[in-house]
This record gives sequence, structure tokens and C-alpha cells, in this order.
Amino acid sequence: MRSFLAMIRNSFYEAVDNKIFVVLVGFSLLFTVLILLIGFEELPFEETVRGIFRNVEAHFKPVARFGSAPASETGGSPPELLDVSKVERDGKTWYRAEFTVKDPEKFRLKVPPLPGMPEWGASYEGEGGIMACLQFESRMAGFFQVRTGSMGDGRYFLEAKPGKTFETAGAQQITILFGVWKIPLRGVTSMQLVFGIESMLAKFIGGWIGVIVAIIVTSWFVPEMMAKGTIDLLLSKPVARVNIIASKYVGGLLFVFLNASVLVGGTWFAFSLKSGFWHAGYLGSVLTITLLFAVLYSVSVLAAVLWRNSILCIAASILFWVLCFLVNLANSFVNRMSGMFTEAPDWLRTGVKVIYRILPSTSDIGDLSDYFMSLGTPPVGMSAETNAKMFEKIDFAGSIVQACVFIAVMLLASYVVFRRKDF
Amino acid sequence: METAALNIENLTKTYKAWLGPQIQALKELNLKVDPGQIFGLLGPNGAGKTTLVKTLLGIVAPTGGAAEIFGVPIGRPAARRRTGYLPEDHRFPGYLTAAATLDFYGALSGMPRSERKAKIDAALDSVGLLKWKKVKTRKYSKGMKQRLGIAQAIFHDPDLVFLDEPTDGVDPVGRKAIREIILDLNRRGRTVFINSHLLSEVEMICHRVVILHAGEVLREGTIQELTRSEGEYVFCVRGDPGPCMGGIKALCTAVSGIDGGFKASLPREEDVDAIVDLLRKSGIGIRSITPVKVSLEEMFIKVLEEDGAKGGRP
Repeated sequence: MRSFLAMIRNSFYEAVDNKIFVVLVGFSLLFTVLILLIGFEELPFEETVRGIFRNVEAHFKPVARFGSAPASETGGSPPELLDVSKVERDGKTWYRAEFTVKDPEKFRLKVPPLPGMPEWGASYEGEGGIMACLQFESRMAGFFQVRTGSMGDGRYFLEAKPGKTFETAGAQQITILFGVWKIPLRGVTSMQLVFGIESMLAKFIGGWIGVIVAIIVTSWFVPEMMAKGTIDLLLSKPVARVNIIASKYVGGLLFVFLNASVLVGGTWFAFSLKSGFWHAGYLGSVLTITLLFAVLYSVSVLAAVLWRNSILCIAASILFWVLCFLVNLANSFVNRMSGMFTEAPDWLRTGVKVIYRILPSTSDIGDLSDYFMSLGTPPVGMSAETNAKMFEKIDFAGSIVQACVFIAVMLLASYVVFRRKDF
Repeated sequence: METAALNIENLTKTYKAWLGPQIQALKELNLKVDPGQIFGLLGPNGAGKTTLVKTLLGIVAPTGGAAEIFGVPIGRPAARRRTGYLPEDHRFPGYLTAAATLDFYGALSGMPRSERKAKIDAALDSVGLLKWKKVKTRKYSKGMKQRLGIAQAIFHDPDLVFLDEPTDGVDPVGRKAIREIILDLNRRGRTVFINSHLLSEVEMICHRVVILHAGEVLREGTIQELTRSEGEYVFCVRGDPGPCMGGIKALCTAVSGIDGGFKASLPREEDVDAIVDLLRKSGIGIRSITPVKVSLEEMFIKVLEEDGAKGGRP
């Protein structure tokens, strides 16, 4: 155990010694500092309603764009705000907006179906359509209690109970560099913005660019250890070869875990502090980034003991990632083919299924980030049930087990090769 | 009976290539090293010296035979727990300081943290690196790395130390210091196994030597045994041996006069007694009879020439 821990500590020193580690940590800290320079300020309700109306306007345009007549003839005008006030309802303060719509008969809205949202999957036209659209957009803006109605003479009203400021789209503006630059949030809540940026950091920066950089940086860990003069010293010590391989692997994971922790932890803290949206689900992406890397690094380790060449390690890991992506794509395609235009042949379905089951599902690991992100705080405008339904078809536990089994097989194969190797 | 520090029986190593010929690096090698000896392993390039050491340390797997280190079969961690090793062209992690290097390899050797902490300064001091303790090894010269390598090999106080070219890249002062370290280890009862090309150094400090060529043992013995020129003796006498030189020449294959005596080549060892008798009968006093010695280097070359392998195996 002592020697195993010493090996892990040494792997960590090796990683930290690398300038790329410093660059990556610096990059993450820079992100964090930049976020700390951002502020969120509340806007008046009027601005929020204007934001909602602007979104309603957007629903006219697709009709015009895809219709046969020019936009000016078939497209409707956006609602025009007349007055904004506060009203008391059930002992609570609600906002009330009064507005007119010039040509409501031109409004047509076709909402795609979405599980758990009964008003979706239908077509709306005219006044009823506008009301439904306003209800929908208000919900998207974070108002979960909304009333709409007609006042006659082409006048309508919208009443909404305000939620927390970060739940109200268009209710805030971002200030940068302590107010030097102000950007109003249009049609998006600060929560959505934070959610979106965190999602991008977790899936794109961390889960894609970060993992590729980590594969490159850690690719020489094992080949370097197996270089003449280094491996002789290690193997001459009373340390089992399985410990040497395992500790190098764990050292690589530690490197990525630390980097991901600094990036995700730092940005999470900065966003939470500035927006008041303490979104703990985002922290789960540290684990998904590490798990995705763990899968790819196990391939890198096997390549390293086979060829002792870091370039080949990088190539093997990236190609494997691409292979997983293609298999996932093929699996989705074969499944969708059924009932669409033609039935996929049995041999193809079985073949793809078998490969899909053998290889770790890297796309499921990516979706796991989304799942963690939505835990406790479903994306705005979506109920917890709807959110849960989005992920119910993904067998996360199965994917994690599949990934762990794959890692174990790769490491076992690496050990078998390493154990039989003369140096 | 004391357990041998090293006991090798029919040890064989054949490197198998996917394509091309097999290379038999060790051919049924037999060797025994007693505890407390400084043992020298000599041989031309490609003789199998490094393969032998690596096989004993479990770095290379043998294809046949067996070997034990203090009674423990090689390949087991327990065998390596009692050994220290300085590989040729070793590479330390450049990101570690000298102190961290010793700490790391000490931990791998099973030393508790407290013991490592307590011994690091003394170990570095013994190889003259104490003032470089906190400097990363990537900044070290070759000689410094070599000295740190020796410190690493003996840091955990092993019973058997394998040193592969221990003085390689070290200046004469450093070499002397390394010789002192080796002799000190020996004084403390440790066994040292040296693999070196510097025959003069081996001659200076080794008790026993083995010459390996093409994976086989050509010669083995003490330095005295190996460097003695067979059948050649120098007789230092009082007086003129001239009157009995006729009888002496009849016993010898060759005789040559030297200052204060003569040098005789004898076909048989008992002929020494016959010459002594002749000298005594003639009333000539005998000061000394010394077997003629050759240097280890001369012997080494001669042995290889005899084996038809001058210049070593390519």
C-alpha cells in the first residue's frame, strides 16, 4: 500500500510538473475570475413583458416564411404594450400588462409535441393562439402562474405572479466589469444563462476540449515510465507490476479530476455567488468528465504497454472515441430506421447492438452531465416530471457499469501484456 | 550452513523475436555468490551481463533454470526487498529533487516514512549531494546522477547491491568516493555485485570475479586465482644460482635471469619443490618465491582470445 501510494503521489508530481497542468488550472481560474467580474441586475417588469412580446412576435414569422404570401401580408404584428401595473390577487402581488394585438386572425402557432406538456402538440390560431403563446412564453420566462384574457376592442391583459428574479426572463441584465458594460437578457432568464454556460463548460470545454487535452497530456505518462533506465529502477523494487500500472492509471485520473474540479468548482462557485443560483447539479459534471476520460485513458494505457509510444496512445484513444461515437450513431440510426422508411436487416441490428453493448457508451456519459445538471433544478419552463421523462429511456446505471467493465478489461489486458514484458 | 547471497542454477534466457533469429542471452548459467563478498561480473559487450542482473531482479523473465536471492526465488517481491540496484543509464524523474527521489524509491522499497525522513540527509551526504538536496535532478550532471543512483541503491540498506557500471561518468575523485562506499558496504557485511568495464577498479575492490561471454561463464575465481600466471614463478635468491642452473633449466620450459634471481616457467607445480631442493643443495639462500601475476585486463583479454572471441560478440 505504501509503495502504491508513493507511485500515485509520484504520478501526481509528474502531472503537476508539466506546464500544461499549470496552463489548464490557470485557464480555469481565469474563467472563474471573469465570471466574478459579471454581475446580474434586476430590470423592471415592463422590460420583461416586452421580452415576452418579442418572443410572441417570433411565432408569427415562421408562418410567413414558410407560407406562399410575403411576410407583410400573412405575418401578424407583435402585441403592443399599453400599460403595466401591480394588482393584488389572493393576497399576493401580481404584475398586470395590458396590450393590443392588431390582426390576431393572422396568428397561427403550431407547437411540436412534448411529453408532459398538454398544450403542446396542437395548432392554435387567432386570439386563442395568441393567448396560448403568451401563456407558454410567460412560463418560459419563469412565470408559472399566468392569467390572460380579452378586455374587448382588441385589448388584452396578461397577469403574472413574479418568481425569483433569476427565474424571470428578460427581468435582468448582465453587468460586466462592475457596470462598465451592461447587456440586458432578452428572452432568457439569468438562471437559463447560467445553466447554458455551465452546460457548455461541462459538455464542450470540459467534456470535449478538456478531455482531448488530458488525453494528449497524459499520453506520455506510461511510455515515459517504460523508458529504459526508468522502468529498470521501478521493477527492481519490491512492487507488483499490477500496482505500477494501476497507480499510473489512477495518477492520470487524479490529474483530470483535479483539473475538472478546478474548472467546474471554480465556475460553479463564481456563478452561484454572482447569480444566487446555487446549481449543485453542475458539480456532477466533474464525475462525468473524469469517467469519460477514465474510459479513454484505459485505451491509452493499453496502447502504451503495447507500443510505448505516446503518439500512438493519443491516436488510439481518439480513434476509439470516434468509434464509440459512430457506434452510438449507428445504433440510433438502426433503431430509428424501424418504422420510418424501411426495417433494418436483423444481422445489422444485432451486429450494431452487440458492438454497442460491448463498447462503453460515451454519449450516455455525456448525457449523464445533462442529467446531473437537471437534478433538483430542471431547465426553466420544464417541470420536474417532463425533465425526468427526457432521461427515462437512458439506462445511466447500465452505462456506468458498462464503462467500468470496459475499463477493467482494458486494464487487465494492459497488466497481462506488461507482466509478460521484458525490459 | 549460511544461505548463499545468490545461487544460480542453469539459468537460461532466450529472447524470442517474431521475425528473425532467437537470441540466447544466458546459457544454463551456474553461479554462487557468498554473503559479504564483493563480486565482479566481467564480459565484453553483449555477453549477457545486464541480462543476468535484470533476470535476477525480475526485470527480465528467465526461460529456464532457477535462481535464489538469500534463499528466496527470484521474481518474488520478497527477493527484491533485500536488494538494491543501480542500472546502467538510469533515469530519475526530472521533476523530483534529490531528497524526493530518495523518498520515492525508499517508499517503493518498503521503508517507513519516518525512517526515510531520518536517513535522507545522511545518504545524500555520503555521496556528496547534501547541498543539492533541494535541486531537481533534471539539473544534475551525469556524475551527480550516478552518485544519486548509488545513494538510491543503498538507501534502504539492502543485503545485496547490484551496481551496473557504478563509476560511469564519474571523475577520479568521485570514483574513489564510490569505491569507499562499496568497501564500507562490504565492511558492514553487505554483498555487492558489480558489473563493470573498468577492470582496474574491479581488480581493486572485488573478492571474486566471473567472466561471462555469450551467456556462458568462461572463468570464475578470486582475483588472485585469476591473475596468477600459470606455472610462472619469480625466485629471489641470495648468491649466484649459476652452478645449479643446468638442473633448473632441465625442470623448466623457460628460464630467464632477473636482478637478484630468476624467473622460471614450470610445467608442474611440484617442480617448485624440486628447484628449491636444487638451490638448497647448492647452498643458495631463498629470499622469496612469488607466482607471477598478470593484470586482470591482461587475463580478461587472454581468456577471450582463448575462447576465440577477441573483440567480443557484435
